[in-house]
Amino acid sequence: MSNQAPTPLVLGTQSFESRLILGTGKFSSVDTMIKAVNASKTQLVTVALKRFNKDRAEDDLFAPLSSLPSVTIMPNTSGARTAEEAFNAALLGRELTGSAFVKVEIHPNPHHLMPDPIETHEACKRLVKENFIVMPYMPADPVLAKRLEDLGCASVMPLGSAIGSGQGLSTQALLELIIRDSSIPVIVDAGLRAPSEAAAAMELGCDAVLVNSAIAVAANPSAMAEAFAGAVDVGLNARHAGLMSRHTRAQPSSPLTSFLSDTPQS
Amino acid sequence: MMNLTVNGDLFEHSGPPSLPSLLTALDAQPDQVAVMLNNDIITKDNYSTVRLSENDTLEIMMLVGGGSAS
Amino acid sequence: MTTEAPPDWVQADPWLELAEHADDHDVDRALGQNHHTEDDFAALISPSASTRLEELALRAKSLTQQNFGNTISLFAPLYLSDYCSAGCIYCGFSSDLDKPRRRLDLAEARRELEAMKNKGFDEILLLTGDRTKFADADYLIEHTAQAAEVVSHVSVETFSMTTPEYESLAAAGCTSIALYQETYNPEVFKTTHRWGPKSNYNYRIEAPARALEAGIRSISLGVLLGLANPFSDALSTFRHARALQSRYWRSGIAISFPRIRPQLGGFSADTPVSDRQLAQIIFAFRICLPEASLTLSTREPAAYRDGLAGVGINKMSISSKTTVGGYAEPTDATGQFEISDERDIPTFCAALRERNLEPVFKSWDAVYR
Repeated sequence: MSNQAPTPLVLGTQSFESRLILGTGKFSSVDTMIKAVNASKTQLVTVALKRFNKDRAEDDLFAPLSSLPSVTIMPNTSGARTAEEAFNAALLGRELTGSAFVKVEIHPNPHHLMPDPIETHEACKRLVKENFIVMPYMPADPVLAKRLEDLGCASVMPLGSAIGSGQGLSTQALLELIIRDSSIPVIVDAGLRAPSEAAAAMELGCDAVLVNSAIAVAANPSAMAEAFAGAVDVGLNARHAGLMSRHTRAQPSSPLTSFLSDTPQS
Repeated sequence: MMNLTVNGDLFEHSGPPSLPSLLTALDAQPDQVAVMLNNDIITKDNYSTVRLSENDTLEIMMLVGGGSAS
Repeated sequence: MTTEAPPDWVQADPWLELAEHADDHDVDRALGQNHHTEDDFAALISPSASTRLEELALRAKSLTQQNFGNTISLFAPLYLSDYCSAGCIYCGFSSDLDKPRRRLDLAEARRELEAMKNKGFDEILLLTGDRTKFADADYLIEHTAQAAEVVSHVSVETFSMTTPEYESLAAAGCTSIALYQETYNPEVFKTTHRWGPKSNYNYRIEAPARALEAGIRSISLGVLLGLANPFSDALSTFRHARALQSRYWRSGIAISFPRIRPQLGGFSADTPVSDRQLAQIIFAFRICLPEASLTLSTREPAAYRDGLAGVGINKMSISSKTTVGGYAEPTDATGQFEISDERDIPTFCAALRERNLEPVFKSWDAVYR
């Protein structure tokens, strides 16, 4: 409805006012990343797990992110190539952060990083049973989306285009089908380059967007984070305001409804 | 002296065969890592009770940046 | 148990205000969407949208064409039995009506099926009254299995069943179930369904989900238009369809649009639905559920059916008998309701072809079941 009050994004048991989720990779420094997180007003960030290396102790994100009280940490399984690896990564992530959220990402092919639908489905099945709030990164496939919903995932996160490609919503037609059929939140993950694309995703009917590279590699990450936050709001507002019709009001020469009488039948 | 595999590399541990002692030797803060010992996750409350043995394999993980693009 | 309000998932009340008072902008917005919410559906059945029926019809036609091509699927009903244990106030089979009752045995049904098959039908809808010892689940399962030997597509319209019964029906070759709630208004439901198994509102409203759970491939929903507020019932039907579509996403959804017709017992509609109102409701369903199969029966007059063929409607019954039997041998028994479009198959098919629509008698083969 056009006069709708803003409704929160509900993921599992938790509600979020912000509909922008941030990835924390590729930033030039932890400090730059934290500033961008603050500027974006995000309430959910995803982080990766890596083998501990004492020489890179300054890379640790647990301490700086834990100091942000309004931000929920969502460990991801990046680096996993199988369901088994993703499952272990998720358990480790929960052990480390105490967060029930997990972003399942399994991309075995290092050239294009496309998610493996079969391993993703298997990992989600196991993680739902372990009471995780499961958020799978997935190909923009409408059938897979319903299969993951059936498992009990908290959202689906189809890709807008390949990770880091900045090609925007190249999967738009498929995203529309996913959005139409889904009963759980649909979050576009990967591929966004410009805030206008985030707005377009929200106008289309997405419930949130996840952005990383576009903010991390911007000349001014904090300013770009703020721009994305604004774009997400704009897109959502536009959708609630009701977009105008695309088709025209042209009337055919022989009307389709001329067979109708005006008298009510009794 | 005890031979362990830590994060894929051989590590000779000279302290007591406990996890806190190993983490100290590695310069790791216990609350900033998660530990998998021979494919089992070790929860924080079990750190002090777990005993390490010769040839154990450990994965010690930390949180780093990564999102839709790692 | 008395039901005061329909279950939340089919509740229409929150949208009734919009269905009555939507303005031009609401209608614009509804027409502009690709994915339609309850708000859009409400706007499209509003008085405001009724002044833009031609626009709705254009959209409905283009979506029908997009999803079904230039075809109309044809099927015919076969009434197996008119024994009935229910007291539905509007129905010619109601158990208090003093009329001779009859049921077909397997041999009689086979003759009817062969006669229908010879006329070209390959999709047949088997019907009975509410559950009796003369026509129970086992009877239907037997007849379904036989019908599946003769035609490719067997649908069943009968009493609500248990999940195991639906499983047996599916195994026997039933591919779709028609099960109409008649009205989603619990009070009207109670006064119009006076006795018998069907008077259990909640058991009936859950039946489509049981059927799909049991592996029936598609479900046909509907209300008897004229029984209660048609706009509220249309909204509830839409919500019911959506809920099923979301949970049983592998299944097909169909909607039928029966209007109250004269029948034995002399019941007339409390809230009659005009030609324009029915057309508007059909257009709203086509726009908001583009892939759903929308059916119009021979209850409706020929000119009306011709007008809606391909403009929202993609499936129709023809050459219908609403008596038990009647295809193989003529009968003078009274039917469930009076049919209005009495054209024979060649005449009707010619009328469709004149509108550039190809009649299709067969939709699919149950090869893999």
